[in-house]
Amino acid sequence: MIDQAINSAVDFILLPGDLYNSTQTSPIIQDVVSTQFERLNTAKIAVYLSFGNHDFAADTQPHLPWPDNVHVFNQDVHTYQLSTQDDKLVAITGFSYQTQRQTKGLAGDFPIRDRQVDYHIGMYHGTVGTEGDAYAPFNVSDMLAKRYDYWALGHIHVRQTLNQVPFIGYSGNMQGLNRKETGEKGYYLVEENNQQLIPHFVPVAPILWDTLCIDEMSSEDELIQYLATFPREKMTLLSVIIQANHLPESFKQRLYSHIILDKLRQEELDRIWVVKLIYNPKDVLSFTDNIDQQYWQEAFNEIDHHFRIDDYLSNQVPTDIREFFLDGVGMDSIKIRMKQIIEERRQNHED
Amino acid sequence: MRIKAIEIIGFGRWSKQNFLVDRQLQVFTGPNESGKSTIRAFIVGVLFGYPSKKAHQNLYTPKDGSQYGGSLVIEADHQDFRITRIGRTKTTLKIQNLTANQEVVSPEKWLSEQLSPLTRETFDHIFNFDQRDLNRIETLTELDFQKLLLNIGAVGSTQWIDVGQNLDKAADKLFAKRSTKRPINQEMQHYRTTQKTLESKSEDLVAYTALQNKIDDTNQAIKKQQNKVKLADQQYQNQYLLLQKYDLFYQLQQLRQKIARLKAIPIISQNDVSQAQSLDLQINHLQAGIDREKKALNITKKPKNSDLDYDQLRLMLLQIQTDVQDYHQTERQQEEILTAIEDIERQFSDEVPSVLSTEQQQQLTHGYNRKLWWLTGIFGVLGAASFIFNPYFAIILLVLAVGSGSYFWQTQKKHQQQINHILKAYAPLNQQQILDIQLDLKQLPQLDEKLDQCDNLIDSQRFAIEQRLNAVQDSIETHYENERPEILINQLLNELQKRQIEEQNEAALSATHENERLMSIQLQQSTLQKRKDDLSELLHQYKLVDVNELLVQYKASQEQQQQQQRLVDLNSQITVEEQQILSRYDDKMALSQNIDHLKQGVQKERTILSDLQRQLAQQQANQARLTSDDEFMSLQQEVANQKTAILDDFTEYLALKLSSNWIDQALSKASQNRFPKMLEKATYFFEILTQHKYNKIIFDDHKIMVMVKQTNVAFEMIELSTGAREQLYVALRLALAFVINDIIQMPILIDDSFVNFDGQRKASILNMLMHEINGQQVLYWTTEATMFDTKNICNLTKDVTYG
Amino acid sequence: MKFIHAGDVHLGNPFSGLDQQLPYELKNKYKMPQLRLLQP
Repeated sequence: MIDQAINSAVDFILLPGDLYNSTQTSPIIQDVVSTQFERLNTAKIAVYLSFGNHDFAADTQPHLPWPDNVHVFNQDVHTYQLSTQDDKLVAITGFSYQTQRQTKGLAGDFPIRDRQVDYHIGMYHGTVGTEGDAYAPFNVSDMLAKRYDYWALGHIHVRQTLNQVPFIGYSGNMQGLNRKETGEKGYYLVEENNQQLIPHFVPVAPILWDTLCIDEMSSEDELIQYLATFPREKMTLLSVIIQANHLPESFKQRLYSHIILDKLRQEELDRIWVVKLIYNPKDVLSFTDNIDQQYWQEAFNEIDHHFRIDDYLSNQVPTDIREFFLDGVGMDSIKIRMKQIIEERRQNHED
Repeated sequence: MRIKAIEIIGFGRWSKQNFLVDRQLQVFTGPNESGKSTIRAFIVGVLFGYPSKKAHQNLYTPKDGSQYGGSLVIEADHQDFRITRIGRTKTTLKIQNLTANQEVVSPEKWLSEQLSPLTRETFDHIFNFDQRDLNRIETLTELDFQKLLLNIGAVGSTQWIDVGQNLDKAADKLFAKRSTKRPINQEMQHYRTTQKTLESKSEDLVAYTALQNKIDDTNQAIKKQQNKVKLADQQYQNQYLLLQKYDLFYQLQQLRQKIARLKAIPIISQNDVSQAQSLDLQINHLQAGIDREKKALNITKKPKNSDLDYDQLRLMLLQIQTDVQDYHQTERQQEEILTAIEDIERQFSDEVPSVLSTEQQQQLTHGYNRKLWWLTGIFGVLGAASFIFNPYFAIILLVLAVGSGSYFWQTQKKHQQQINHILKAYAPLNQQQILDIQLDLKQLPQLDEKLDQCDNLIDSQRFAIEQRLNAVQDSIETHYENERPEILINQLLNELQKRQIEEQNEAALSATHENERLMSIQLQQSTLQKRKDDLSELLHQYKLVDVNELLVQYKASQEQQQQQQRLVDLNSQITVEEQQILSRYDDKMALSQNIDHLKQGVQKERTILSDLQRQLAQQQANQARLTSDDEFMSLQQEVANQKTAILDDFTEYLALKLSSNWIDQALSKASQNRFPKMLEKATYFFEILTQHKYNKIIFDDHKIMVMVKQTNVAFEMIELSTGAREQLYVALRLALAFVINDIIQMPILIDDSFVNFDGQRKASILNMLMHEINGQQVLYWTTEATMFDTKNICNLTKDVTYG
Repeated sequence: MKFIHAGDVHLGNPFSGLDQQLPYELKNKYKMPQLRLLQP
């Protein structure tokens, strides 16, 4: 991204939060940041940097001094101005997080668009929500009311647009970090066109995460074939979800015992690493036994509805681990597994 | 299903024994060890299969060796059946439909359908109030009750309870709140440790930042030190340069002194000098010129004559011209002769032949020898004529003729030969022509001679012409290319003409020249005088007499000037400050010493600088080590991987736990609708059994509580006395059996010894059983039956025969 | 005028969901994918 910024001679770079992964950094990262920001300084490209929920304390920790081209936002909403190479006057307003959760939204504290400038841009790290929710909750209407020309959002890793004109949206992160963050990742190169600021997506991720759903499968070799013919240009970390029904018991056993996953990995397919192999057949619990199907289903729903992680994992268990089970993905894994467990036991029963 | 009769062939102590069973209540009395439990076991055996060989299990092998097994006559679906099961190990099952008088096809299937959803265990749990339960009363837990309860909704689902328990246990094996040994707990410890290691890495960051600051400081110090070095070096260099200049300085000083000593010489400008010189030169030159010209004038100048007598030469040339004409004449003659000769020669194809002799001519003209011819002829004729007369004479004549003829022929041949010879030589001419040409031929030698004469004459004439022409040319000293004489003569004439004219012009010219010369001499003389005057004026300026003096003085003044200049140069090469500095030193040596001192100073500063640089290199190396240490990154990934593993394991853990709950919940739901009814019934039974002491059974969060009627105080099951617990158990069991009525009806088998009640209670139970449960068949084994007011009592000691 | 909008760079953020079996070559080849974005 920095290379391209220098080659294209952009005027400035906006980093709306979470530049760093956490409040802890290491010399390497410091070194890289310092070197790269110096490069930008030499190329006369300004950097506007605000801190988000992951790196909110970064500025207070020991770090190398920022070069002159780097403008940091502190915890109060503040506006910087700059004049570009083609003599456009630009105002940039932003803020950094005070705490990790930042339940106070700050959209209201942003000033109304400055009439004197050619473009007024807002940087905001947060998520749509109501006051009291985490991550600087805001409304799109609050932002629109400020009449800015562009809102550079951060925090959501999925690239998405909340408003088309003026653009209010998330560029997403530049490299997927887990199974959920699939597809191409990159940044926005924003140019003016008829007094509007139009973002253009530039993909840069060296590694892609992706998911392969298999509805029908007749053999393990066929599975390998699916993988071999999976279209990819870059290194791909692949999650494979087998949704096929009526698979033989032996296959399921090999699945549960990770034999199939090992086999897939041993294939050493070019540019593919199978991260996870999930078996989630479409047909839901379909066994019959003395207990009515209806009761199983109702019972399942109630368990799901009433589940509270704190009932099972006390706060001795680190928060970041407990948090995983608060959302859909965590629960889905559990639910799939539950169904498998019950089905296995039922099989044993019948046997 | 209702039991109507028991027909034992061989089972335990019983052999070939039949019992009739009342539809509603059948009591079996007898003391202990009278085979009560055997009958019960038999019933269960026929229905569910005979006992298999297991530890501590009674196999009920017939004592007297009778065939193992027997029959039950039952009523089901309004029909009577005989279920016959023979043999313990190799069992045969036969079911006869007595009403329809048919054997039941697939008896096993039919039987299990009839009994469904009961298994042996569930039958025992619900309908068989067994002695074994007695031992367990003490240890009855809520779980046991739960199991019972859950049996209501999903009869045969108690396995699910076990499954649920197993799942729960499996989950607990993975993780427990306060454990340190369980796998997930350990993983978490590991995870925390790794996280802490990661945190401690952040100290690296402090070190890094601090080190970076130090590096910046060192860089600054280096810069300063570099300046110092530069300064010291400059000083040294300056002094060193001064050293170079010391010699010059010395020269300067010397020169100054020298100049100071001398007197100033008035300067003569170079212009004047060169002018004087030039004047002097001019004077000399002019004088020489005048002298020369005078001298030249004195020599009588003869115009350059060529000594040539033009007229004579012209005359000669004209004579030569005449000669030339003669010559041409000769040439013409020669031509004619040549032509004549050629004419003659042309006539012959080959060489010109020689002139014919008279003879030859005659030969030609005469042709053949007439005489001979006539002779021959005469002889011939005579011969012929005389032949008549005298043959001998004729012959002689003929011979003569022949002879003359042959002689004639020969001479003719010879003649002809000669003629041919001549013709050949004179080819292509014919005879007449040959004769005609003899005159010319005779003249030919004469012509040749004449030709020679001509040639000679031509040669001599030509020679003479040439000679004379050469002579002329020599005299005028020009030579032209060999031209034809006429042309040459013309050219020469022209030349002579030209020359003559030239000479005349020259003469005129030289006269003019002489005049001019005289004039120029005059002019030069006047100029000369002027120059002399100028020179003396110039010299007077300087109060000098002649040019030499001037030059001498000039040279001296030049020298002086040079010295001055040198002084200025030296001054310019050494600045005032430098001179001041240099003058401080007594001699070169002193300066040199100072320089050495400075040099040492520079070295010292350099050493300090390199120390600093070494320090910088060290710091940078340390820094590089920190920035190349990617352990942080690896640790981060390690932490992430551990987290993944923990999440996977917790997923499994929670799945197990929740599955267990799920089973509970499902079972609970399944039993939901029957539960209130069962609870109600149980409460009712319990109240009766406890003689209205307790009036409520409460199920709360897997706990069973009972409420005292009078006080409304609730007690947990654990808090009850053994007796009360037994009663509760019975009440629940009976309620269970009661409520399950709509799924399946089976006879309740109660062993008295199980129920630790007094007579009164027993009666009340039975009353309950009979009156509350519609259609419920009860088989009751007891030791004494006094309280029963029924006829259906089978005395096992009396009414039966023992095998 | 043109500029870049790059949110959530998350320098050095490790990948979640990879188990220990990640082969050595893969680990090293893509050791610091985040930093690769910033390395010249």
